[in-house]
Amino acid sequence: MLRVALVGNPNSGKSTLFTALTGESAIVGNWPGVTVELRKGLCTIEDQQCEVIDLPGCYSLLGTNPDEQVAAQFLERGDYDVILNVVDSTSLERSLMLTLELTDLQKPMVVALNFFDELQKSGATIDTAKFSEILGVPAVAVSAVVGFNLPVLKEALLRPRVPNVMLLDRTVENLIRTSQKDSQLTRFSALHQIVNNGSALDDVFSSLDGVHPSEHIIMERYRKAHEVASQVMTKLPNKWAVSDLLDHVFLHPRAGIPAFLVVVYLVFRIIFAIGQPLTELAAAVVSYAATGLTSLLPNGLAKNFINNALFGGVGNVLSFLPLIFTMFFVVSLLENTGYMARASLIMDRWLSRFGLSGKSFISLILGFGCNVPAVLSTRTIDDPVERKVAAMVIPLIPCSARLPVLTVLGAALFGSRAITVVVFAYVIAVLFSLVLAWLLRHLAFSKVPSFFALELPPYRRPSLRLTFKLAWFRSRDFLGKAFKVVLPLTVVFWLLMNLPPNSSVENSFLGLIGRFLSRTLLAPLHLNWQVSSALVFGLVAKEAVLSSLGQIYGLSGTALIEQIGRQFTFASGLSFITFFVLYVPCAATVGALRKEVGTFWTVVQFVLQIAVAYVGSLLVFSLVSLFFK
Amino acid sequence: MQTLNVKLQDLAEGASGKIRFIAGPPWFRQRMYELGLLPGVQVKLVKRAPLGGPIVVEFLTQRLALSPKEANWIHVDVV
Repeated sequence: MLRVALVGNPNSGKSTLFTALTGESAIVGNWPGVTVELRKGLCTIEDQQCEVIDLPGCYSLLGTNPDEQVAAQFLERGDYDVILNVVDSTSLERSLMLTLELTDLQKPMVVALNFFDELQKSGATIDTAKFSEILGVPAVAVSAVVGFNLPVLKEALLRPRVPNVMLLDRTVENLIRTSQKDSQLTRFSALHQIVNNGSALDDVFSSLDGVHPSEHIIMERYRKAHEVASQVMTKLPNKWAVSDLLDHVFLHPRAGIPAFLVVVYLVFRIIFAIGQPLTELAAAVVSYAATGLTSLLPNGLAKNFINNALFGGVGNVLSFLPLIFTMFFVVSLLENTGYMARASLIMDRWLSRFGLSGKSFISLILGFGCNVPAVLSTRTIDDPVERKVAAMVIPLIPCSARLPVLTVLGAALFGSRAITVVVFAYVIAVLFSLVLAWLLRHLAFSKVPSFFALELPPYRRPSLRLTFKLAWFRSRDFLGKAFKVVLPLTVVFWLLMNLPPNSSVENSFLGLIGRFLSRTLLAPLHLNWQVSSALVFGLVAKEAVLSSLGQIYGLSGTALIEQIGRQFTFASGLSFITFFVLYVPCAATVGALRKEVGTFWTVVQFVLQIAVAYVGSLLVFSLVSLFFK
Repeated sequence: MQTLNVKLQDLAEGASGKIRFIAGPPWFRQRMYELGLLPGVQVKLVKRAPLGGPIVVEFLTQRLALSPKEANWIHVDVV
């Protein structure tokens, strides 16, 4: 099987090309020598099966950004047959910087000149024949969004060529040769070593022209890219005409912020208008299936297990799929049109007060849907400190799983004013996450300046079909991850609730844990053992708090709502809602967090979040009982 | 107005400058170089975001948003 490694800049249309090439077959998998999961998919070219591996988007292979290091590690290991380099032909010079780095690998390669239709529309063109002659590799003009020339590109993948060595200036070439002589390195590894570890010649180099070798190499490569670009492209494209018109509104000094608020409002409106009823429908289907299936079984432990553990846990995750999918779809749409970059730009000033930058905005917004992909998406933030801060703050953002619980709690405690309470919970959560971001940035991490520098792509018409596929892929990936964590945990919690055998909930292990918590840790919050036990369930998944309350009280529907309503006063109710919306990330989020920031910071985050919830709800309790006696 | 060694942040909307040098931490400099923002390259300040937010600069047909702090690290000669 032919293995194709897909490499390109962020915003080069790499993801779109990947989806266009591989269609439905994309899955996420692990690779030897690479610490993160990569996407791969299949495509057939002239009866030959090909596997396309989507490497993370990168500007350079020498960088310190984790995404770039992953791409570099993968490419250096050589577990592939062809490199497919996606180039944004409307930003040829910049894109060529990466292409030139790839030629140093001296592996069979094909270049796809993406957005070619856009380039021609803006009145410029690239001489592909000359381009492929200079680099020594096949170059194909394509447009992934409209599917232009994809068959030609596929065919070219069967006939890749090893690129010409693109020589840099004499100083660099001498330096490369010296490192190669010492340790038998390839050209690519030699350059990598010079940049990352420096060399014995560092001082000599600096005294020659006053710059560090790594900077010298970049400048040299840039000169080369400029040289190649001016040979194949005679006229620069004018690609900003339409975008300037739109930006006149979206980045307008006065209209920009209202326009942004309208877009955010619409996003949430669409997500909840479409996702919410579908989620309710899915939940109804799951519970219908559960009753239908289990009515055939005799009463007893087996029935209890299937009903509560399997359908309760798995069904819950399944019923969230529509909401998650809608969210991914809308967010991908915003990303593909180019508005997301503008939103980051607008939000930068506000977020920078709290030690974050506009780049975290996308991850934070994703957090409202589900914390897990949101935490994983922080990987694209360049600044290492901000990446950590953003990942650790996201679990405080109320995900969509917290919403149904909040709605029911709101209805139970405050009747018709439920919506106000839900909004209150959201405001509190966002407020505390920003406070935590500020604290982390200013106390835990020394004052490193935050980094913004965001590439602004032109506005583009997205392909609904490809966006749909991408959203479907992301949801499927989420589902798989969720099941891996939720299923075993639901079983464990079912056991806790039903052991020792033949005991009531009150005397089960879970009841004991709940009673212990309500007497000690949760005592200042005035929570009884039933509620405390239900909170423990939030570790599995936030929505499980509700179903477990139902099980503990043995009630459901309106009866449950009335029962919960009787447990709280106005003040203790609000303080409980505050505690619930903030208290701990679910297990899946903890897993994602550990992957991104390491075990130490995950533990710190976990403890901090409980502390924030604790302090927050105590504060709410005392403030509310002070003013609303 | 001073035309040599001006901070990018102080450029007027629509004005252009040639990069003189880039200060700031090494990783910032490196990222700017990778994006093609190197000494000698001509940049144009396209837009200032609302309320003293980031600025948008254009160079080599691509656009980049820079926070005020970053724009202060980049020194240009007005052309």
